[in-house]
Amino acid sequence: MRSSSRIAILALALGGLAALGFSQAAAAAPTGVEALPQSAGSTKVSFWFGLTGVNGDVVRQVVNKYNASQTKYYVDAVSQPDYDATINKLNTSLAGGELPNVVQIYDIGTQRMIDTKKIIPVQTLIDKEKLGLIKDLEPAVASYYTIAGTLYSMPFNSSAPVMYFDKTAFKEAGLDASKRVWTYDEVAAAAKALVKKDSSGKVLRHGIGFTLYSWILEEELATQGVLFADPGNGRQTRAQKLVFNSSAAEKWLDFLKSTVDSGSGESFGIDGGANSAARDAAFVTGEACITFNSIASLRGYIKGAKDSGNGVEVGVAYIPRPAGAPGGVIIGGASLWITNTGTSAEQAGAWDFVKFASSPAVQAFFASNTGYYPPHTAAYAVQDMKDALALYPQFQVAIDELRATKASPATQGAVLGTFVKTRTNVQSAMEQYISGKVPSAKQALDAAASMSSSELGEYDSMSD
Amino acid sequence: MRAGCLARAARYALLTLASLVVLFPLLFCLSVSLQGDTVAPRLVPELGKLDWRAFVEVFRKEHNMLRWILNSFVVAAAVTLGQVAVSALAAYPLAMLRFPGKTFFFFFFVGSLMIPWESTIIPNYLTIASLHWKDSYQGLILPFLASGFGIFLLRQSFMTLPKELYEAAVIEGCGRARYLASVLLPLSRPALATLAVYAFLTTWNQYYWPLLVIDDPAWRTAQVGITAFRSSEIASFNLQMAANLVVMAPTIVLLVVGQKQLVSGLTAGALKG
Repeated sequence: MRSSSRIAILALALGGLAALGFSQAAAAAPTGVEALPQSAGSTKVSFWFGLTGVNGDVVRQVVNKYNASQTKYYVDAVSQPDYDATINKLNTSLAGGELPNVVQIYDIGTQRMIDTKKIIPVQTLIDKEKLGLIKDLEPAVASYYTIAGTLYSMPFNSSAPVMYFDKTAFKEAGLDASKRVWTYDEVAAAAKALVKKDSSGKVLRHGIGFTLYSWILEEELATQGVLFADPGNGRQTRAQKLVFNSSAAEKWLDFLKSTVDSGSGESFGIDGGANSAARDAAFVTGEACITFNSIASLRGYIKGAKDSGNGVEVGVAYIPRPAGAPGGVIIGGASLWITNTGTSAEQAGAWDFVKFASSPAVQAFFASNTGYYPPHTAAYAVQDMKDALALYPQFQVAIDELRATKASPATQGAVLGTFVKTRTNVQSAMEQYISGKVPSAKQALDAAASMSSSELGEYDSMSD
Repeated sequence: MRAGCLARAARYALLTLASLVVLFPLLFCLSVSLQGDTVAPRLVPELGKLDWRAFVEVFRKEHNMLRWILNSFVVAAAVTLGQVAVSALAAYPLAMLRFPGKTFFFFFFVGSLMIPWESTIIPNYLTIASLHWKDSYQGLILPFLASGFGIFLLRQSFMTLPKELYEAAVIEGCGRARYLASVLLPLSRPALATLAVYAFLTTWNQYYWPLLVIDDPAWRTAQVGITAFRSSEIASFNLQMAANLVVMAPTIVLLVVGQKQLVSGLTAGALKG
């Protein structure tokens, strides 16, 4: 038959291709982390988490450590595709009632989780056992997850935004590679000094390469002490409207736009997927010398820079600020939530696991194997963590940046139920302005803020 | 002679170019998956440094990989068979028979197309959860067995066949069931094939429903499963792309095997039209 001969050709072609390089496959590569079996008589506690890839494997290792440490409870860890999918699946599952006992949810899911009304705030559990867990928390982290005086979830993995730069290029251009605090004007001037063009005027190397990322804009507002949502970022009472269309946000966008217009900066488009990957690739290969991202990307950048062999040395500074701004950042990352579903034995197991995950040894293990910093400060005394900091001194910059933050509603970060939609609106406003479709930052941001406010109003009216 | 040769060469060159354009996403996938664990892949890999480990790693990292592909296959095949069977049986009376309420039923089925799928997720989820069918093939298959689109498509196709054919068959002593099996279905192969391909591909590509009703990793479908290869912070795409190709391979093989059947089926319909 003709079709079978076609398959044969296909198989031959694939086989031939495979023969080209299969000899390399013999080298051992790391494999996935297998779950331990459940021991007889233990209570099963279900746990959903949204970290994938290398970081997801570290979560699995934490769960295995817990299951091996005792026989009373067994944590059944189920990975979800990402944070978004986790909270969406959880919200739909609310109707059917089958919720996990513990779930890892990202920072911006906080209000939505509270609104499920299926949450046991960890504060009540801590108070009941009179534990010192809160005192041990990094203050900025504790204040992020504390809403109207209650700590709802237990911080697990935290991150901070930083400015990454290529030390090699900085030294070459005569810039100070040890400077941590940069103003917009200083970064813009540095970017200009870093640009390389060929004789025809084509840009070979950009000073800055960035994606249009709402999270960074939120951070820039915090750095300037300006609110994202009113009243008070939704920290005491529910947020009523979005106020990110302020001159603080305009300053940030005007700064980005000015670098693009002068040819020293390159926008890689709205953050996420291929755009972020392109930005990362440009940074590690030395095609863009400065970028803004989470400290959690540090290891990836260092490894990527080494692999690319272009001599990029990764440096870290605070995110830039306009001259005279007070500084300060909002934490990012995720926390562990305990639901009120299941038997009391399951709930006790859930709390036991969360306590285990907050212990210094586990926190240090997690932080030293991922790019997050430990929200529990006792972890810094553990050898794992000390080794990680010695290996990645850039990490300390992010920790210092975080600790230099003065607590205020602006640096606590906004809490609202429609954060995902709002971010989408902010990012498309950024895109419209940077690409020149809308003449002013103000106009783009105004439209995004009014749309986001009406979406928030709709959400709030259904949740009260 | 030479002119003919040249034309032939030009035609092949053009076809090669066109197929490169069509295959570009797959080739790019392959290219990235062969460049190792890098955040800065190139468009074309260095041929001397092909790294095939990603394809081995995909199976080593996720032991369920083959199971996921099997799950997707079982579910997509069952939904396809189910939709074709249900649609054919429902379209037959709508197209050929006269009975009270025929118009009502027709509009009832077509009207179901107006209901957005999103609004049925929660009711469907509640049904499946209350039947304790989460983490099962039933839960993945059952909600998709009937389709208003399939019924509409087949009804229209059945109606293009002349009524005389039916009358002639009846005079020869052919019953209704036999007419469906021996005349109507064989003559409607193009429409059935279209429906089958459509049903198979949409089911194969489903994401949200399988994500929702499956908790146990072993029961996941390939589309949900391969998200495990995404990385949360810095993306190196080689594993992701290798996983994509592994998951796509069965459908591509199916296409290579079934292409002739499919194309001839479709054109047969076109010529008769």
